Amino acid sequence: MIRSFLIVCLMVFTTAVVSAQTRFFTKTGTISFKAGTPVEDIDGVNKSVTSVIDISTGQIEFAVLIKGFEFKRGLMQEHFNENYMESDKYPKAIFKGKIEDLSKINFKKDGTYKALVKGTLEIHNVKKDVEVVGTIKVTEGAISSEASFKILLEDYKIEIPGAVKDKISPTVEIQTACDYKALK
Amino acid sequence: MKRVIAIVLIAIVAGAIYGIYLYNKKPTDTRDEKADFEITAVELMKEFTTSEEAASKKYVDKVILVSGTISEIDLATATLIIDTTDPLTAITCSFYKEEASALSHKKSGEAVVIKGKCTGKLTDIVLNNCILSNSN
Repeated sequence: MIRSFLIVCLMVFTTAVVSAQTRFFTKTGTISFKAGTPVEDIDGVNKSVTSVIDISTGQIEFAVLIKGFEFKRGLMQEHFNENYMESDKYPKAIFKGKIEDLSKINFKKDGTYKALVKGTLEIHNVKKDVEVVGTIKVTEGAISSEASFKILLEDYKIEIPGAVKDKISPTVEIQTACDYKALK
Repeated sequence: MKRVIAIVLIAIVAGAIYGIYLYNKKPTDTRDEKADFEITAVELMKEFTTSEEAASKKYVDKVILVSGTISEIDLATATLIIDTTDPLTAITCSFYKEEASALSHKKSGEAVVIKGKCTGKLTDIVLNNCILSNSN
């Protein structure tokens, strides 16, 4: 009798632990951006993005190291870090937000779901509220996220000198892609 | 007079060639660079935990040889994670795509030395442009 009681207790406990696993993370997400014009292509990519998503609350966060963005050309990478992002002073960019329409996403069922995410994006020591419609994909219990959105450089106090105005676009297109694993 | 014009022309051409060279120069390649520091994963994490600011000043943008134990390998993203004995934090090593094949022979638990450029710390310390060091 005591034994079966203990077994039931254990089962209940295990279920609780399993269902409490609502946080998913990645350390190898990708963020890329395009800031070029027809005169010059300027593309940066970072493949060591950290992101966490909590499927019970809809909380979603991204963090990326500015120094980890890679470019085709060395000088571009240097100017990006030194002149525009000042990455020695402001080494990270961070987004903290929430999936607003969480109830529309069924994390137990395979599919691609639209997700409206509202939150704060911090770049170059400037915090701004942003709203992005991204997608959440569920494949056999695995979760991935994707988003594409535009920001204005002047919103983040990133100044482009007159001499290169025709090369650097005032709006930058940002793309994110993350494959998450359950947080153990 | 002719000579002056010739010199000026040569200077302009040389300047232009140098400009084109600079413009097309690739970002630095860790494979061609000497390591600035050699350290164990545990020691490196200790320095970042003690003072992230001081450690960032010392290591960010520098090529480092980091030795430790592999905790995870992800071939799809060409990433290797080195254990720091602290379960909450590690060293994430993002490899050159073309160097990722070298990872398929490695297993978690194995000792490894990685050469890469430090880009700072999020929850993990991140090394970019990584390769397996020749010393192992």
